[in-house]
Amino acid sequence: MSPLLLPLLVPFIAALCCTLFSKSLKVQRSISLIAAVFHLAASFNLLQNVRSEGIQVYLNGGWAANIGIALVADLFSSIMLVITGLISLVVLIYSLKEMSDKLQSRAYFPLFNFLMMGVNGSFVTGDIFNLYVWFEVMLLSSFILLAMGKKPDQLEGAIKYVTINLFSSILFLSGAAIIYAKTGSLNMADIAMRIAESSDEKLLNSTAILFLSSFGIKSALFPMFLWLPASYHTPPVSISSLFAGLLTKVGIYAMIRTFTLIFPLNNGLLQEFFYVIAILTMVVGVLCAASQFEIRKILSVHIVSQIGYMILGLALFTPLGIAGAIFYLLHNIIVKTNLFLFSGVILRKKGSCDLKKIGGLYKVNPGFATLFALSAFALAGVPPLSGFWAKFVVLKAAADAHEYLLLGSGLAVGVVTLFSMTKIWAEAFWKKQPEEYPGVGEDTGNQPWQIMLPIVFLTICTFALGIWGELIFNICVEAAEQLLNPTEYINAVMGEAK
Amino acid sequence: MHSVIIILSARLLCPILMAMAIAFLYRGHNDPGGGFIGGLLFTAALILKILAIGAEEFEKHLWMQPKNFLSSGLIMAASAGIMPLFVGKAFLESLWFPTFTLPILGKVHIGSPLLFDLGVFMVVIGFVLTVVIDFEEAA
Repeated sequence: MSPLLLPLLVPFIAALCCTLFSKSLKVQRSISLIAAVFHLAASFNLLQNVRSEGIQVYLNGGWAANIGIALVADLFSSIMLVITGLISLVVLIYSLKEMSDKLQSRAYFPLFNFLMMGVNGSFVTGDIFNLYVWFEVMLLSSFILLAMGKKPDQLEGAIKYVTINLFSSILFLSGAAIIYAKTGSLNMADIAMRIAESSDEKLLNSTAILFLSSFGIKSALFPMFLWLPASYHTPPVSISSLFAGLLTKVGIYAMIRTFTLIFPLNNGLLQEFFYVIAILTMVVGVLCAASQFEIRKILSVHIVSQIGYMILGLALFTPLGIAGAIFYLLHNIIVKTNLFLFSGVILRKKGSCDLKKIGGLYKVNPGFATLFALSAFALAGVPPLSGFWAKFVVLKAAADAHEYLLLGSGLAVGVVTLFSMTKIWAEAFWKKQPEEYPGVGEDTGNQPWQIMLPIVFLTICTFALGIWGELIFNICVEAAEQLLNPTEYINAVMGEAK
Repeated sequence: MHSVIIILSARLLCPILMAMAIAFLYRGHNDPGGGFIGGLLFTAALILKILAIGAEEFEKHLWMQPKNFLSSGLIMAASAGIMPLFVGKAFLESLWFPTFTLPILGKVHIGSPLLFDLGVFMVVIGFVLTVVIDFEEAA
């Protein structure tokens, strides 16, 4: 069996088995855990294969690439698969204790696995319509996960999320339809080949903008990010952290893929447009975050400003810029997930995530506070943690391209991020518990290992990514070079067609 | 509400609709039809029955929970995709039994696409029934 199929089939089969054993939570838990371990192993295996043998292609149903649906894994996809595997395993372990049994028995495990299948599918598909299908698989499961628990604010958040995401799907589908009508193909490599030969400006720009707006909504870019702070803090913490870590990043993945392969950004107009969006996303995101007082809201709005850095890396369209964007993606997935996991612990200990109602966490548990500080400062970009290198590379790329406005706003946003993180630190950890609030949660004692292990593990990852970052950064550079030379991708896919 | 007209017409129409649904399911691989449309037609028949005899009475006649229809349908569709892997073919590639002839149907061509369609058929039935029964009981 091709290693490319496993990241899809493992979560799928796990989800089916979980629906079969819907009566027994124990069985569902073990199935999901085994599947998550397999998923991670399969992704590593795929990454190894891609590194040693080049881009992997799998043709579903035995059809030729431009007729059937091809699965393609280059370095970028397989890096994303590995990080997805890692996060899914970690969050799964965390959710075992964080979510109540009642919530878990509401089809949590099948939906979790379907979500993972959707995320993986978006990373490996080589077909633009199939990408839409995977988005839908992912969104359908996320709709239900988001509304799990049926609290009023959850339903409000979920309705916003559903509406805006359906709208974005319509835009994406229209773009795919125009491309199909003009080029007669849905295979991304085939489309890229045909578009490179065509000089139809209207076709190029109209579809590029449709795709940009659709992926922009999904990844929460500047004018279209308001759905994210409205919905991400409402579901159970495990689900928020999974969403915060992975879902918006699938939008970024799709953006990097289409704007390197199909519409390379080196034509002037589109690139300038990207610069503007990147700056606005970073700045507006970070300012909105600075005005928030709920930990999970602060973190969610920070997702927006971090997305700006990734778009900045993509917009520069140099090997260093894109490598920086990929490295930033990895760093951000790990750190953002981890910070959400922290907020879950604070919620368990204090019963609230509102900075005005909590305090004194440092005194109660200095170890936990130190772990939090490491992750928060990694997000803000303090050396030698991972965020510093991620920001450094992206901003270095901006300086190399002589885009000083981008460089300056990137630096300024970093400072404001640091301010937000210090605010959480000062309010939640240093300040005394306010007297008018009890600050007592459901579990004030020592947290069970299922909760602490993921946090400690992800913090170590952040630290390792900072200190041994070069190893991983080299892979990112290779991936960026692959992305900037789409001929390799096109030859790998279309070569199979003959 | 038990209207004699609906009860009688349901008695007449249900078998016809079901037969049509199965015909659509069978011819779906190469001709218009398929698991999705077949499943919808089949549930149309079942909904008619629900309207005639009520959801509670209807559920007594069901030999399987609608939700189990969903999961078994998914499993069928998945196994239609996975089976070819065991004989060295690609994922979702069609496997066919040798063709044989039957009196009315003519040449019969059975293979994994039919299993896949049957899976879709079950999923559609399971989904629509779950929704309809919930609505009917809430009303």
